[in-house]
Amino acid sequence: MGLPSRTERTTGGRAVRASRAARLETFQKYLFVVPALALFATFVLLPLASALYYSFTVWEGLGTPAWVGLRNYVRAWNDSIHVRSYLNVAVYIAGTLVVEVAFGLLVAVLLASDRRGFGFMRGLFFSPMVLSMVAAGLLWTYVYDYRRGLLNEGLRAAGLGEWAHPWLSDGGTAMLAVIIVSGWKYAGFYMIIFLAALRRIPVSLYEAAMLDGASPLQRLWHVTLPLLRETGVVAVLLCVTGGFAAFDLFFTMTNGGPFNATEIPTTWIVKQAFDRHNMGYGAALTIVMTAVVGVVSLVYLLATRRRHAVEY
Amino acid sequence: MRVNLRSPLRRLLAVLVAALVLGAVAAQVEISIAHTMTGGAHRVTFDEIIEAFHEAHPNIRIRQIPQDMEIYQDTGLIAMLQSNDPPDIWFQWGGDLVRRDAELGFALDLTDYLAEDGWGDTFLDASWSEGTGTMVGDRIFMMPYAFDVTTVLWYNTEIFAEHDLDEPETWDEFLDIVRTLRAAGVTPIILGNQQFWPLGNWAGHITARVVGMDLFDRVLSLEEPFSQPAFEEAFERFAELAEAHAFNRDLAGLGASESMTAFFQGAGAMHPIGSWLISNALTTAPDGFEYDAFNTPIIAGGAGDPQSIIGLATGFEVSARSEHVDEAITFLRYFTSFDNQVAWAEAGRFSPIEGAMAAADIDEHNKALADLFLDANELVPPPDTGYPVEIADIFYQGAALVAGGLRSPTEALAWIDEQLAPLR
Amino acid sequence: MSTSALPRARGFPLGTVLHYWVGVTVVVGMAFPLVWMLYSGFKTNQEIANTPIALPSVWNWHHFVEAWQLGNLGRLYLNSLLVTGVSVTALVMIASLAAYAFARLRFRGRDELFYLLLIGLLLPAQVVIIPLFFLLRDLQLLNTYWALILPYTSWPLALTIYLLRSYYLTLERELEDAARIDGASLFQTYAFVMFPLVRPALATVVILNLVNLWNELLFAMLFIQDERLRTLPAGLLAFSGYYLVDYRLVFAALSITTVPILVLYFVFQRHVIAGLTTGALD
Repeated sequence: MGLPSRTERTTGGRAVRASRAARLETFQKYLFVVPALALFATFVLLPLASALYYSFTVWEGLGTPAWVGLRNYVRAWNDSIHVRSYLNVAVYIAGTLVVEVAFGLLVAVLLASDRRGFGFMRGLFFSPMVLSMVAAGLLWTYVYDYRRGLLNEGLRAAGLGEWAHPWLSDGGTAMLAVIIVSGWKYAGFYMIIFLAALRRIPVSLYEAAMLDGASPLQRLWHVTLPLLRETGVVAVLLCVTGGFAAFDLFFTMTNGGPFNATEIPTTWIVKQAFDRHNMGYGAALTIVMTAVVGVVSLVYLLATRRRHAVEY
Repeated sequence: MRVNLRSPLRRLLAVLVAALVLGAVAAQVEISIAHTMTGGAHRVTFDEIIEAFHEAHPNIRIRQIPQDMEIYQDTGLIAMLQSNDPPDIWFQWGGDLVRRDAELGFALDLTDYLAEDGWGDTFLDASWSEGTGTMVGDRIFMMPYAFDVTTVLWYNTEIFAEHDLDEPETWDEFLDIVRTLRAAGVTPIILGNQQFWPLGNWAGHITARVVGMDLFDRVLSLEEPFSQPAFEEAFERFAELAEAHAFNRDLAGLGASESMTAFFQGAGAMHPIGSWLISNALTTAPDGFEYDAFNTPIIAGGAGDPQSIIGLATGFEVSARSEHVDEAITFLRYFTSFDNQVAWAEAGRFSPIEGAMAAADIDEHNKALADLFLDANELVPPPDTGYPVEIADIFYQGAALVAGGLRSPTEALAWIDEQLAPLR
Repeated sequence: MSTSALPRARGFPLGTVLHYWVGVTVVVGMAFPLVWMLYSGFKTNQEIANTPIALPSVWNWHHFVEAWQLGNLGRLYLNSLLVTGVSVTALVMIASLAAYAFARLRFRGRDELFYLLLIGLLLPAQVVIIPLFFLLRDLQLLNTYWALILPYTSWPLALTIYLLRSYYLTLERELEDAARIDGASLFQTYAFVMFPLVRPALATVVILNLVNLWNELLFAMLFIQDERLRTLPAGLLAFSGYYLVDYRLVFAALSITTVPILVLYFVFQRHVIAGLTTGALD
């Protein structure tokens, strides 16, 4: 499949034919990647480049963009809600690491059993994953409703009526409420990933540990968890980058409220661009977000550099 | 005699005639109209008017482009106006958006068309003012089709009677009512302020009452800072409401329509919102639900007109790029004819055509609001239609911070100025 | 294991009971909101408001008919099927071609192009909504299925190519070489020898992209404003906006839009989970 050698090419008509065939084949090779690259260039790279351009302009989406240099970036730096949106998303990510990754791991260990019914339980635990975020968000908005929500009504039924609370209307509880829905939706996904990794751990290791007299907890700590490290590294990366990209749930449940308590970069960008028609400023915010996500991911990948067991 | 050709025979005849004419006239003109009437009584009436128009003008076809209100507002209209094929006629809110459409050359100057054969004179005088937002300078860019009062205080008459309360005249009486209700364990005011405009609109009205229209206009046009004594005085009113625990606990996270439903179900005694409550009450309020409304009470010492109302006009603009301006005008004249406007009023809209409201068979609440609108000497424009939406948004949020008891008036006004700094 | 169970038939050991108890508690807690959603759709608005947890006194099936008709939910399903079907098919075909080339063919600029593509792995799609909106507008594609199909095909390319390429790299070279020696062209070798071999990984990327694109909201809500063309998530959101306070209809619509997917998932559960954990992900 390699190219014809130089000596072949210099010897007469056969070589010319071969060289023509080789050129044709080189052309064909590019044909394999052209559709993908064309789409990628048009709908990913080109918009990314335009976003960079718009970020240096003031533009309301009508008329022509006016060049303003770095003004949007200065504004982004001084925009207290924008800065706060990164703190909020950090809290959200930290929360989801617990309720998605850690809880998913815990449930994977709990449900990794061949006992009757556990397969079904795993399936049930995973099922919220196939719902759309919109459906999950709408459903849970009703769960959290102050007057007729499932949660407050449950508390009242349990005689804890004074704990009933406007969960999504209080800046102190809204983020927690969203994090819990996120965990409800995604813990099953991480459970499945960890389950696959658990299945790969040789039984002989456990048998050896049992011979050494290790208790179940010790086996978990000394055998299982270390061997799940690489899966964990990937799970955390997925959770962190996924957290930055979160939007649907916040948009459906709180839309950044109350009073920006759940404002995250993506909701703020969409508000700036499509509610307030600040396209230039919105574009600058997207560039900031790209940089932040890129840097965080790279630093994380470098810090945990190893061969990954699971790749996405 | 109104639009509808109810007799099937006449309708059939009309269709046959139309079909014949259709066959004869090769080039039929199509007029596209973008609007936000996705349902409700007014859409039914609008469809009927268009149907009758098709029969009366077989050479013109009307194509409707209805869009969900929020989408229309955020991206829908912008996308359409900039496309190669913008609508010939589109719905707009009076005020800042009309100004924008005029300045960017999207909207056609309608002044001369309205002057023809006294068409403009058939409208109420209130139609042609900066306040209703149909004009830019002395030129008309929007033909109004409805007036809306955007905040009055609706109240549950049963709850008021139960606690022996009357409509308040002054702000202090109003606060007394709030305190009485709260002491009795009733939520005085129920509102869903997740999107900030429901409380914000009312806050705009209160502020304009306290600081006066001139200062209100200068500050919202960013000619002066928000942090100044008159505005602090206005924001003190929201602080009073917060202190009296006037609002429901989930004020900050509840949606506007959910709160209206909760009001219908008796979850609160009062509900500050616009004239559209009337048509919602018809469909969602339980049987026997009794309600009434009063304007924002008189605030002593305010610099604004003490009886002002807050509201605006909505209507149609015509595209400056339209190739069929004459046909578009023909339709608008047909739509605003007296008979059609009586039908329009009966569909629950406040018609801007002189006498249409009086001639229509309508709900007493609608009549009362129409009177309120026409009797007012001063019309305060809602901040989100009178001014750029970003300024309104930030003002709304500042007001909500005070009403939620989270910031003092001084702090909230400083916060507003800080947020607005990049726009100055 | 099964034989030893007999002598202890009188009672399970404490550990097992505890294991079941904890497992069932967690799973029931997770599943309850879904069950609540299902039966709430049958209740009247009064019942939902007054007794939110109780079962319906009458099972009002007609709420579902109403929601189906009012929300034009059938249309939403068709739109979603069309958009995700076309997108995922195109995406997988195009990505597989490119992945094969990046894994096996040698041509100038190959590695550079591949690295360029990898940028897409880290980019959240929100980053380009603004320019993409105006690009689609300029192409006159807003409010057409293309406004979703094109971005849906393009955005997951980086990840999909990356996953498939890893899989192609693990395949043996012999079959491929044999085909080439027999005179098969590049495309023939790819189409008849290599593509069939990559099936396990294809299953993974198809499932992954199906789930993601079926549920996508942001593009769907910004690029489609015509309600006849909306996909399920955007349509459901709009529906809940119109009928926000008609709780029975929203619950019914939620059930209608999620239950078929849940059923499908339970039928193909084994494949979904296997697809996500084996194939290209190892």
